[in-house]
Amino acid sequence: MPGFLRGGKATSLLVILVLTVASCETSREPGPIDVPNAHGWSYDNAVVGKSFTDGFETLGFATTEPVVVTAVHLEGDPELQLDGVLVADGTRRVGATQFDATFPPTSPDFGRLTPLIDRTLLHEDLGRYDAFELVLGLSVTQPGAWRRTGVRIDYMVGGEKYSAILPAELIVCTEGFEQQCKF
Amino acid sequence: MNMKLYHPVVASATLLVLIGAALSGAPLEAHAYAGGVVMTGTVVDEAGSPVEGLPLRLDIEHSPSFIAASGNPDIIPLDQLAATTTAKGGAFSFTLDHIPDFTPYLHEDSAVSLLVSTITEEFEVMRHFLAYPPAELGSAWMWQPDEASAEVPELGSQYEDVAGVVSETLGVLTFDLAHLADVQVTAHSDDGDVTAPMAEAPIATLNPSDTCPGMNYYYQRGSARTKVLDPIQRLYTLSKSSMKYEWTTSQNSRLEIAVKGAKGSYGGGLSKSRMNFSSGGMSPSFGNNSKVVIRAEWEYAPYYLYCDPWTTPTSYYSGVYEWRPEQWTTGSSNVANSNVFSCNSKWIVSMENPTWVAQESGVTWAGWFGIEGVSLRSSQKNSVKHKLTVTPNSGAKARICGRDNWPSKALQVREVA
Repeated sequence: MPGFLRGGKATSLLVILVLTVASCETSREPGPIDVPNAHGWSYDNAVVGKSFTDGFETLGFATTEPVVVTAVHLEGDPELQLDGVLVADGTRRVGATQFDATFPPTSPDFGRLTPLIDRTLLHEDLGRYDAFELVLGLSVTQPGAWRRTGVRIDYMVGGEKYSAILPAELIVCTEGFEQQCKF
Repeated sequence: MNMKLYHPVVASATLLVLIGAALSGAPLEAHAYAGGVVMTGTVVDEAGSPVEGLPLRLDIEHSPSFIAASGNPDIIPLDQLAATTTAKGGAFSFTLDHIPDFTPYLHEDSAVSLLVSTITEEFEVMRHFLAYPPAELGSAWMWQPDEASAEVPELGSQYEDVAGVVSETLGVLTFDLAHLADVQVTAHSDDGDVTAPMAEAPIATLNPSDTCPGMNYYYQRGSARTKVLDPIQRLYTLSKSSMKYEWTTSQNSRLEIAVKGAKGSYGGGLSKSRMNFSSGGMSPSFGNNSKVVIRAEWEYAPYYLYCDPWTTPTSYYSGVYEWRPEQWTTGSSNVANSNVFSCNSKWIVSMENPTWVAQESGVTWAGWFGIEGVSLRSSQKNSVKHKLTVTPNSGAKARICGRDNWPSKALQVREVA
């Protein structure tokens, strides 16, 4: 058999393997995370390359077991990028602070902020709240109006892996594109 | 509430019978897949006591498109699927030997309209359900998604001042189901007014002189109309935000039926509006310091239930009629809302940018409205634009709060100080 065919076969097997793995990844159950109803907001004063804070989302779980968030991804336009992920616990002043012009945020309303990825979220850290606050650092890479359709959360509880998409729309616009920042 | 009703024209009875016989006489075509248990549940009386020995039948309504093609849009034929009798504890089960060809019954979204009913001297049961029949061998009947996730609204809600009367009876109906099973329905005894508590529990005995069992029956739409204002959302702003509510009707807009029979008046389950096959909508906006209830006006029509004996050439009016939603009139009304809800401080969100919230992906129990002294519910599956947008004043941080959850999950949000 010609070498290129053998290589093609190997490539095919590799593709199948990758697809299988990818399929397994995307077929994870949402698990006990509290998925909100679809909602969204817009920010029409973005500056290319300058991070701001989206703190509108919360992370609640229908379990008292420890939760470890392993990854956070944005769904939607790639021009809206994720610069960092923090979590606010029960020390925050309000349930969620939607916006801060910088990231990390400077407002004392956020309370204690720690990196979220791979941190173990304990039920007792919720304080008086039912959920943690997800604090996302975002920025746009080009001028325009860019849309996020959701936020994917990969996490583990009790050794089980889960993945869920929070239907959290966000439209971010730079100068000159404000008219596209309306719902 | 007094309303003039027009009883069916006697002269048209013969024609109705012929149409009814032609439609109901056609045998239900059996398919190869099994039917099995369609629905299980219990029947309780208004005091919550189980009703044993009550005959029940399960019927399926012809679809609006099938009815329109029949040439008489005012007749809704019903075909019996199954019959049973409640056992100890009020338990019942409808079982099919086969599943019929659903072509005449399928709505545009592939749902079918089912009716569980009985009329006896002691009790009336009339309950509509919308469900998806199984598409494969051995699959379960499914609720429409919004009905599966629906919660029974709290009684004595803040809409009491708008609706006038809140029915205590509605509180015993349960819909928290994933499958078409474990339905609890209420048998309405000869009380005459379901809003008045029963002095004593009704006697749950079966009288053999049933009104319709063993017969086919159908509805005739009457010419009377009534309009009701249905609360669909409340807005409450203080000094730092304004709100806009965008609302549309859709094929999935559903309102509750009011049933009037010899035993009184009561809610009869949710029904799609008959004529809202396309969407209409409104988007009222309110500025700072607004406390309003937004209401949409709906037109209702009476549907008279006729019994259709096989043994005689004439059908007869059973004495039971229903008010069913016809269409949104495009009318609306905003009223001051003095009953402002409170919310837990743990759900307060600080907001600095325009935000849309309170879009419920499932069912929306927006409030109560009344026909014939019966408090009814509205339901809307929000597959179309239906959202509340909160806009903080320029340069201000507004604090909003969900009534019973985070603003991104709550049905209603408000501004707090």
